[in-house]
Amino acid sequence: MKISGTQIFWMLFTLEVGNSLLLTISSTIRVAKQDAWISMMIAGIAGIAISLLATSVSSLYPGQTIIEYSQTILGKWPGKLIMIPFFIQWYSVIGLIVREFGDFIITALFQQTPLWVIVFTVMLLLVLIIYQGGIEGIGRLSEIVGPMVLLMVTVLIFLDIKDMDWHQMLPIYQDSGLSVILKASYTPMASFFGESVMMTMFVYFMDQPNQASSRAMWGIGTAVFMVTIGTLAVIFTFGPALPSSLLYPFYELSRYISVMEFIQNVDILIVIIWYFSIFVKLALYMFIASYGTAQWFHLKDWRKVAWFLAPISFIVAMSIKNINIFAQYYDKFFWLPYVFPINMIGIPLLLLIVGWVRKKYAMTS
Amino acid sequence: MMKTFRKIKPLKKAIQELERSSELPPNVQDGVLHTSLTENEQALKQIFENCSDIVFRTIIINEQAKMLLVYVDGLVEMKTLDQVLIKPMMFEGMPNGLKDAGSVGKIVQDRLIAFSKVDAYSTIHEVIQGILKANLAVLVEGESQALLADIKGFEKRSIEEPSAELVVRGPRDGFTETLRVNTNLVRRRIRSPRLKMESASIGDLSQTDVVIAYIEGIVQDPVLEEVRQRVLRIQIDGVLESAFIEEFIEDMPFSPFPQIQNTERPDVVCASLLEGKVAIFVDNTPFVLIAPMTFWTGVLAAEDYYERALYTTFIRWIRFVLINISLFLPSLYVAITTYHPQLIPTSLLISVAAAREGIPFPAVVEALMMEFLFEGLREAGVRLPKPIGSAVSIVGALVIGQAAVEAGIISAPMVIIVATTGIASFSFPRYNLGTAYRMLRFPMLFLAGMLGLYGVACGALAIIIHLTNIRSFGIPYLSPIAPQIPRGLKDVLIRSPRWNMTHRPKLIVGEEKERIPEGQQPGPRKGGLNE
Repeated sequence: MKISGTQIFWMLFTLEVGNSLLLTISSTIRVAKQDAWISMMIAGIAGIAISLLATSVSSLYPGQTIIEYSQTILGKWPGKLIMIPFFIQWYSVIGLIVREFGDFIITALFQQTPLWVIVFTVMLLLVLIIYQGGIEGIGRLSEIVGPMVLLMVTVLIFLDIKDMDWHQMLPIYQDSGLSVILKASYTPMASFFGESVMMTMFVYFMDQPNQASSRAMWGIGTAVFMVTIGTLAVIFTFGPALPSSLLYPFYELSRYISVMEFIQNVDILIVIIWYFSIFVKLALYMFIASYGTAQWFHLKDWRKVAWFLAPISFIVAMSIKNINIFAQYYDKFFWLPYVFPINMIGIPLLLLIVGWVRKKYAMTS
Repeated sequence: MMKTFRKIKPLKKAIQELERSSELPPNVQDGVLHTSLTENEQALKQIFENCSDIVFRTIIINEQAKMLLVYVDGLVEMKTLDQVLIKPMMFEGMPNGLKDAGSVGKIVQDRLIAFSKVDAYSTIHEVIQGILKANLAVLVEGESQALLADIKGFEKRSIEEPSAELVVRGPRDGFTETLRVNTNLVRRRIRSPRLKMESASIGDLSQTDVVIAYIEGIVQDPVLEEVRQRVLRIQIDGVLESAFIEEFIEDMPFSPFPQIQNTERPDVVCASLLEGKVAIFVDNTPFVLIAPMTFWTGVLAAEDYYERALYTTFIRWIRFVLINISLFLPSLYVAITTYHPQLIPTSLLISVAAAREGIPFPAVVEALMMEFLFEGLREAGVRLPKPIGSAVSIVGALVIGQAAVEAGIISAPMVIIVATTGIASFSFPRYNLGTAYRMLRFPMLFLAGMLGLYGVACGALAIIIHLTNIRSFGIPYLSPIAPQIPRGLKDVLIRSPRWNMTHRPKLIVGEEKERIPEGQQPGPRKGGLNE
């Protein structure tokens, strides 16, 4: 299994754009009002920094994934133990994303379809892609889905231009100030752009690992650009007050479109393409969780882990009572205080410093 | 990706035993020819017992040497046999008698048989094989060797226009059932010693000739080696068509998508060879296999390269759209009318609803019925004898197009949908990829009927996942789209002018990656010719 630099680019782009556009705009605008786009950019820069951190720690030992090099750097048991937070993150987040997605599909498309049907079909497809393709298959899938997402967002924004009023973004910076903007950037930074920490697993699979950091930066950079533009479009169209009360403001934006009285209701298209992009994200999580678990336990066939992971995620997704409240709690009490500082910054930084010192020490002695 | 070799199946053993017991009678158990002609004749006659098409002809030359000719009636060229061999031998014989040369066989081979290709064999097995492969066997008294002369002369079909892949502009010769004719058609187009043609015979009973053709230096060696291995390990009793080979060597046997291309056109084979692909010729069929195949070869027609580049790009895009229509249109119609009517503009919705009023079935049942009937009509149209064939289309048009709608069983929009889908599915330049899409339409309809647009999206995603993961002899099926190769897009999304396609497909080609030198874009001479 080898993936190319182009595939890294599209993987990270698809991973970031779909979810961020749909789920973060609302909460960011709630805090930062019309300056939300600045928050998005700050979050994006942080995301690029995290991806740089992740690729540079991985390039210390390019022949290993984070599961392995954490043991090389810290020793066997400390290295294994330090991975546990990652497993908690991976195992819980798949179910959560599926659930969030299932709820969105039901609100957008159906009234009476039971939730389990949707969660179940997604799980089936995930097992299919893990079994048929692995990371290579996911990379190729994102090479098809990524351009579709890019095209969709661009076309959507273009079709909406006539409803936009750029005065809505004024005054810039005056109402909020730096602290508020930074505060607003925390959620998208932590929950989405920070996910580029996945690169710690991907560099190992690249055919040219030296491309990793540049391609990852391009991928996230493009994603940030699209999300910032999307946030601006939402602000231009709805103003700073309305979007914070909408559940999916970018989706609402697509329902605004009406060209020549014929191209209407294109919101269905955004649902489907968003589905594809979420699927890429889920598949990536599924892959690193299965592969990581197999490496951690020294299992031979990592694909079989998917059979164990899928039911767990299914149960996680189904056992949540109210996803909106739960997701807020999850973000507030688990992701923001623990996952972001520990998994995305703390552990990679620790590994980088210790690994670097070790290498230096090994060279001099 | 290479699968491990499977163990030799018990079938092979059974066939071998059967072969051994029937071919060699007790008196020739050792399998070597005797010096006595009578004994050899007896053995051969015993082996060819009840084979009425085998001719045994004895001639005596100059009262000195006795000879036996054995051949299959009809497979050898009788006229040549009579005039070039039998007549001179019987009337003129050996002018100097036998005195000056030692071996009769040597004299016969060197002086008497006036054919270009004559070889001597000493085992009875080789002689039998030679006779069955349309050679003339000559046995001489006192010789423990037999001569096999190649005078194939069976009836063959003349070269005609291929019926499955038609072009407006382009060569009109198509392959025939004769292997040599087919390889000649290719050799005539690529006159290079680097065009190699390795031959093998496959099938324990049929002994079918198979030729693996490639251009040395352009082909990718691992791919060639993989093709060779997969072809040579086939154990089968008979090969009647190239599909027999295809089924044994493809990567994913249960995928609906074909992973090996087949064609009747020599120009397509040559173009593929020049891109670094490998062609597999099989005797007795006009269909030549080409491997590795990518998805796009199923969408690109031979004519794309003979028409103007701009026009071809336009047609290609129409084809891409039609391909998607042939897969998605019925399921989209069902999903939208059943689950998401708000997506249709109101005026259109009213007319669709009005047309559907009084139809007793839900849309999905209606669509399944119609699609089923359409496939039935198509099958009937292909299978029926030609004079009756036109009746099918009339019945189909009248019964389904009009009567069913008037009777209120089928709604008119559904007829439009199914007809459009049908036309779209005919737009595939290569038949075998179209069949995959025709088949996948039905699961998509089920998904649309159960889960609406979400079901269609799931189905589409499953198809994309599958397509991105198929490989054909190690080459990803969707390349150069996924994995993306920017240079390759010049021949997929658009058809770049020939002088601009400077490189062969990156993943397929082996060494010589450059096809033509750059900078050959034509244009008027600066300053004009007449100034």
